[in-house]
Amino acid sequence: MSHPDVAPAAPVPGTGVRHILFPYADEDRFVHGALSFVDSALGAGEAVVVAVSGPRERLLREALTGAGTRDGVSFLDSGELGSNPGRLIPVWQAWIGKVAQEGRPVRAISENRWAGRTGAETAELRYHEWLLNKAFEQSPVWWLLCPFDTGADQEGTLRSLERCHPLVLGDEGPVPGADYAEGPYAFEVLGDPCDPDEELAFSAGALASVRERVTACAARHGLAGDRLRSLLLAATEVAANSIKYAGGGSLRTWAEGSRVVCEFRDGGYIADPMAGRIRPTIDQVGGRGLWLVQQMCDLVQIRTDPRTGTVVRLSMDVDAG
Amino acid sequence: MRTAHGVATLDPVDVGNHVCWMVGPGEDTAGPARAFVADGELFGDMVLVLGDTGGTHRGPVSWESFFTEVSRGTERADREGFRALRVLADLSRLPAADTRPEILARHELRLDALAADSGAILVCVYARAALTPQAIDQAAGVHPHHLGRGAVGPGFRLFSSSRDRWSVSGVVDTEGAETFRTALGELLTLTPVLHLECGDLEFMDSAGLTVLATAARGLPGRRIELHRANETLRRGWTLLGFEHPEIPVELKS
Repeated sequence: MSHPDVAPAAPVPGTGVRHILFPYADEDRFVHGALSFVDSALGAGEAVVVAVSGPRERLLREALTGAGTRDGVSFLDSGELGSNPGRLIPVWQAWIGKVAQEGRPVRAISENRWAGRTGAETAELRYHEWLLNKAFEQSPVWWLLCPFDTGADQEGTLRSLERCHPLVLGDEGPVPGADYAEGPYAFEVLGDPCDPDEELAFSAGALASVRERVTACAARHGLAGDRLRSLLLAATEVAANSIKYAGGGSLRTWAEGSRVVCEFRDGGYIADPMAGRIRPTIDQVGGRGLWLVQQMCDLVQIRTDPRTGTVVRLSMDVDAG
Repeated sequence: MRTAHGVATLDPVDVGNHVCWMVGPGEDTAGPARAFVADGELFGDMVLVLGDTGGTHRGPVSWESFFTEVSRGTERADREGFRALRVLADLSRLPAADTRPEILARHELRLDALAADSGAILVCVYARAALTPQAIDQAAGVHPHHLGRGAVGPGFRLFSSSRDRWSVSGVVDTEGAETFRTALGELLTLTPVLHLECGDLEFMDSAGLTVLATAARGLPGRRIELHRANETLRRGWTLLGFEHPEIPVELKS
């Protein structure tokens, strides 16, 4: 296996992320591919950051120590990235921005946790992987290697990830992915609600009613305290957007497993796929609501279409926190 | 510590309460007013009625005259051994210029501080039909108490909690943000350091937090200290990047 940056097939335009899917079948292959990637980066004087799960991190730390290159690599606590995929892009943006200020190109290895996630979370994580390509279109060039354990593949995750990565790491290095789909993204259809409460139609002046409905559902399922307040804040933001941009909307609430879910529907359209995924500046006008929504909730699912309108689902885990 | 709440009737109104009574068309005011006055005699309060009495309107003609009457009344009630001054004030005939949101906020907040300090009971009666929607929200937002069932005005209440301290309770959301901005702006003209008790504040949404940050930056030499802010408020503030040297707001424990 050769390293990505010496592979003749790798595209070299002046901006953007080199987003490489790295399917591996066993630990040896994982270590070999990751070490090769790190060695090449350090040899070129580039910064390296790694965000992988606990067992993989230990494996890689040992291998790097054995190779004498451990000191040149920063490890991100993948736990701090949170479970909501909607929070991941700003984490990378912050890190890339910080290193870019030091004038060093960046290479990153990031392995998402796929096991133990709900179907809804997995779908959002796949979308996040696709959206990364758009999010960094104008950024300085950096490399992101995404290892994926093919032994743990479920429900066609690998196939769908191939549609999200422009490059795939093979035996001869990264090659353009044959299945990469530049867009538009084909979203999974949202699952059916589980015994939802009666729909609440709302318009201007009804934010308190929206919060009452969310509070009632949360109380029945044991969501309280700061996590309830966070969900209420998010619900207030989404309802306010429905009122502002669509004159109003509707709300349904229900519980699904250990999660309280709030679904908002309206006739508006969110044109910017990055809405809510970029940290706002203190002086910008507007654009803060969806950011808070993504940061406050355990999962946010947005489906928007200029013809049919927008659906926003907010999920909050009763047991977390 | 004063807390904000609504009351279904004037019966439970107590010392230091400052009630907004937003009267709708055709609503009976005479009966509750008589009971309120009768309660004053029962509890040993000095009663001051500023409004329609026997067909003759003698409500306050200006905010200054209202404040002066209440201020003098509290001193006299104290001097003469009454439990408190009990005021029923019909403000429905204030000139339109005096019911602009910023004017309402300025004078009601001043009256609220007087009620908190002196223990006076103030019931401010407004005619809903005579006010703009913005003025209705402003009046309700700066009274700790309101008469009526269900939600009245914005989701928050801003009021005096003790000498030199103010409380904000409830929720500051997009629909109440402008009302909050106006009230906050008036308070910031009064003091270089505004202490805001947030123990009963559920949260502020992005519009509310932005108003707080903007108001603090807007007047040179002013600072806001938030006390007892909950985790959701702290997270929101931090997530929006408002923990910034240019924004003179400090979240105390």
